[in-house]
Amino acid sequence: MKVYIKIFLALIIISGFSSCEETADVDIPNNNPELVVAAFISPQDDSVRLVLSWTKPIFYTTSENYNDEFEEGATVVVSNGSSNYLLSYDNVESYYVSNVDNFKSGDKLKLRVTYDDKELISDCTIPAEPLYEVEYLGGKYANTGGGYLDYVHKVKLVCKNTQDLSYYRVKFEVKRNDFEDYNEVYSANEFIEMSNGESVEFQVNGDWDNSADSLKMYIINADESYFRYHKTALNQGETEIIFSEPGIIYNNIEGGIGVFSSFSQKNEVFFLN
Amino acid sequence: MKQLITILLFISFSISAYSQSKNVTISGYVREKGSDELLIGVNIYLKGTQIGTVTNNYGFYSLTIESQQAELVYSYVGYEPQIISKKFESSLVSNIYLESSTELSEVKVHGERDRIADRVEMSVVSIPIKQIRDIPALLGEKDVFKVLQLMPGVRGGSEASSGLYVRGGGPDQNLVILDDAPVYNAMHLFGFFSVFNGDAIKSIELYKGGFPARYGGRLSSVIDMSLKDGNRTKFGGEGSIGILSSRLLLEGPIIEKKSSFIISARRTYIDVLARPFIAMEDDDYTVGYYFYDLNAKVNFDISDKDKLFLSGYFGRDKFYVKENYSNTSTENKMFWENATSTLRWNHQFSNKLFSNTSLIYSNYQFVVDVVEENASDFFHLNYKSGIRDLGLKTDLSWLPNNRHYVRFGGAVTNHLFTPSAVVVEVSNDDMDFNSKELNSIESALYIEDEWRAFNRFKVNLGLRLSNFNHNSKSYFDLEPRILTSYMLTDLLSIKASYAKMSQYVHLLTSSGIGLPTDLWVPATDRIGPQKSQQFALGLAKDVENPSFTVSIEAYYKTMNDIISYKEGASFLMIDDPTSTEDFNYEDAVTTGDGYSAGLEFLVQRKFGKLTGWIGYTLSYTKYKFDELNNGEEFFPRHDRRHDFSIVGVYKLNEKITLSGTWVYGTGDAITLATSTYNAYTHNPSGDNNPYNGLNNFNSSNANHYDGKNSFRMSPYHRLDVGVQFSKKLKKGRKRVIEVSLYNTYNRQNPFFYYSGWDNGQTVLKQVSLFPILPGFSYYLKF
Repeated sequence: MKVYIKIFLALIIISGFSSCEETADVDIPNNNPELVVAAFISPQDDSVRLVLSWTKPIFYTTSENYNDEFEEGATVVVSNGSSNYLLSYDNVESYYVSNVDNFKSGDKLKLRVTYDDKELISDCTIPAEPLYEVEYLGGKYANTGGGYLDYVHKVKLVCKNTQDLSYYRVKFEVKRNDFEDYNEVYSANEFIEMSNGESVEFQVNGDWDNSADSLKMYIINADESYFRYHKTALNQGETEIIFSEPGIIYNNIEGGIGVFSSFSQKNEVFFLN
Repeated sequence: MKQLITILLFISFSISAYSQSKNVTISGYVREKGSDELLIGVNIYLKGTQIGTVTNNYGFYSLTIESQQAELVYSYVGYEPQIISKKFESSLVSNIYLESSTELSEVKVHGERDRIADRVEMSVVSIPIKQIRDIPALLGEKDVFKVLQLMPGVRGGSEASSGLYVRGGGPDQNLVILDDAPVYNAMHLFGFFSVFNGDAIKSIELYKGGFPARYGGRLSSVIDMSLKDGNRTKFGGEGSIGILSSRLLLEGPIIEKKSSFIISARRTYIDVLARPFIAMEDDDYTVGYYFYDLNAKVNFDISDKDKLFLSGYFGRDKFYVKENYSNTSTENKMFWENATSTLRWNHQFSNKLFSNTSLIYSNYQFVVDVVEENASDFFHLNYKSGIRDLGLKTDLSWLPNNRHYVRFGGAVTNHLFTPSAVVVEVSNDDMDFNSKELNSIESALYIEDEWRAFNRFKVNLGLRLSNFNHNSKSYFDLEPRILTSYMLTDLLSIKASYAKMSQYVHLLTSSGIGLPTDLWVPATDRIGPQKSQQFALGLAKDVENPSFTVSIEAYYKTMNDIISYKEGASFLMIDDPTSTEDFNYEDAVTTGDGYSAGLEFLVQRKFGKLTGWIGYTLSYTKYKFDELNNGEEFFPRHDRRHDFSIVGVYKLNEKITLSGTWVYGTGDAITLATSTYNAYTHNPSGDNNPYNGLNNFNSSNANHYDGKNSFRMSPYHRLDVGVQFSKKLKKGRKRVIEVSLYNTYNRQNPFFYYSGWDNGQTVLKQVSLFPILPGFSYYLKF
């Protein structure tokens, strides 16, 4: 029995010194750089801009480089069926740009990017401008977290767009009496899928002492790609925490990653007493 | 409703067709000789025929046969079979006592039944409790759930977790019931151990599919456990001391042959062992963790036809930190506890009709309690979440003749959910936040008939009508269940099953780990019930001499409206309980569909010197959620292509038992970032020109993933071995010393990955949890 006890104690000691961390012996998938596209096209704008950059592999690199690696040598063409627009690279702004005749709601746009043997393709449809009714419902002090009281404004929006489903993005800014500029404030429901007649109430925080003189509301009716890309990209940046499932950013680029999308925007201002 | 009426008419017609000849009924209870413990699932059959039955969950049986000279056999795994040979001329009550046999010889088991081929059941895992005790375990801590994980179609969560993933379903889709009471959080120590103390468990059955109509409420599995009743003839007990915990069980008669009790307790002592070391470092700082659980049961025979059982379970995990600095004392406690209680009344209306009525209570709560005080200020925060059930359930068994075994009954349960309740006291000021409780009623009616339509063909037809009410929303569902078995030969059968299941309560859980924060919530008008349909087809083969069983099953399961946290969401979203913005779990979850297909192979041997099993599963599971992975299909983390296990227990002689398990599984599917980039987003409130896209850019560093769960971790494999030294002591006592090794060849199985540095470049680092670990326990039965 003594022998067994000695063996048992030896095993406890060995187990205590066993390494629990090591370099994983697995193949890392797709560690090659990929082209990334970002383009948000508005019918209210007379130009199209597109950022083209490269992903940076995480594994088997020798430094952490957070700077953009823009690609300036690609051929970028956007077409709306009747015209092709060749975008040229702007070295100052680091994006591709071209003046266009203003696109109209319902225009179907196609994107083609070629670089070496790579070809990136995508498309989008210009959405209708947002049609809605808005109403300021008033404000009151409420506990918005941490036991602190905050003055909360409420705004109601009713969707009047007639398509089956509209992709709305809404943001708010507050201009306080003692400030010259509008400042972005938090509100829930930044991204809402709505159909005609549906309404949503926004609770706008940030005017902590009820001293705002106006509230600015940015209302976007977007195509689905704009909507999903922004929702997932902002979600990944804000809530990537332990125990949560990683957020995967929407991608509608064939042959690469990123987004080619469009939106239509209107603004409203509520002057408060 | 049409389906229900059709099945009722069908059952009545087929029963009347077989009720014409002169019959006698033999009924009674089957108990263990010596302890009078009621035995569940004992086979009773007429030798040389297909006529037979089994004891129910209360040890009762009833068998109607034609008046004749016959041999009636009572057979049960691990017990000496008993044969009654006589002319059965009139109905009689026959209470039988089977003698436990720790080591049945091959000769004794030859020709006797623990056969799977002639049973109208499939996709059921049944492991003798005695065998569970012999299988080596992490640090010597026996755990029934970890043994279930070794069976085909069942896998665990992350390393050493007791979570169960059954046929592609998540841990939220398992119904765990202990003496009829649901257990809502079956985990101790953050999922490393299940709450069930094997000493007090009499039987455990896991249904992976082919669900009989008497079960419902979850999509993927039912784990039905019964506590022991307690020795009715003499006082006794057993206890054990291990590395992590110690256990003690006491049992004995209250009134001999009429009433008995059993009480079993377990406690870990990590906190006690660590306390001196922590105190040496800092007298003003104490930290500790422990868990304990307690099972108790009493039973009483009111009459020959009426029995009462009162059983309960209570278990608690507690984590605490106490600090005392600068005249301010802080005490933080976090505990989670399960309490269940069941009062059951058995009544035998006749020798063919048996009923059980259960009054059920179950409560799970998770509590965080923080107290901070000094001479001038006082702060107390108490956060609670949980679920409380109060239920009534009646089950009736009617055995009109030897071709039918009809079960019917109903249940109603009141669920009271507390997603979040907070009380804050700040220097004489009390505040209540979000103490919203959600009330709902779940009910069900069912009927099933196990019908031997022909000598070689059996079918279990069932229907369950379920209903769930929450606020003004009401859900109904009809859940048909069909299970058939056709005997191709005396030892080989082909089986098929179909089951539809509905689940009205959801568990918000983080994948791969079992946390006390896992939250049960009701189906609502926004998040409806989850549903599944499962088809299974299989072959079951009994092999004699040596005796073992072989089963092969293929299954296909669809899951609809299953829930998952949205990307980026987790239970940590409940980070500010004092906010007036209601915590709305519906905003944090999304619904989708999934399917799982698989092939399971099992060779199992429950008798003889060498027992154990070899199991293999080939499976393929995919989920699809509109709001996850860009709406594309993905493998859930627990998808495992290959899963292989070998379990062996060899009784070398009366004194030494050797055991070993080896498991192999495909690595978990995880989401791995392979590159980064700057993700540009449009800022609608940009100053330059509000309608210009790129002029109003924000950008942030983003991770690029090839897809959700598109990367596989390294395969998991591990060998555990153990040896038990048994010795019979005086006065019938027995002592067992067990030494075991977990992860014998020190495999570094990945627990999680992260990107780290090695030789000046970024690499994928792997963290493993358990290296080779010895285990030890000392067991004494008295």
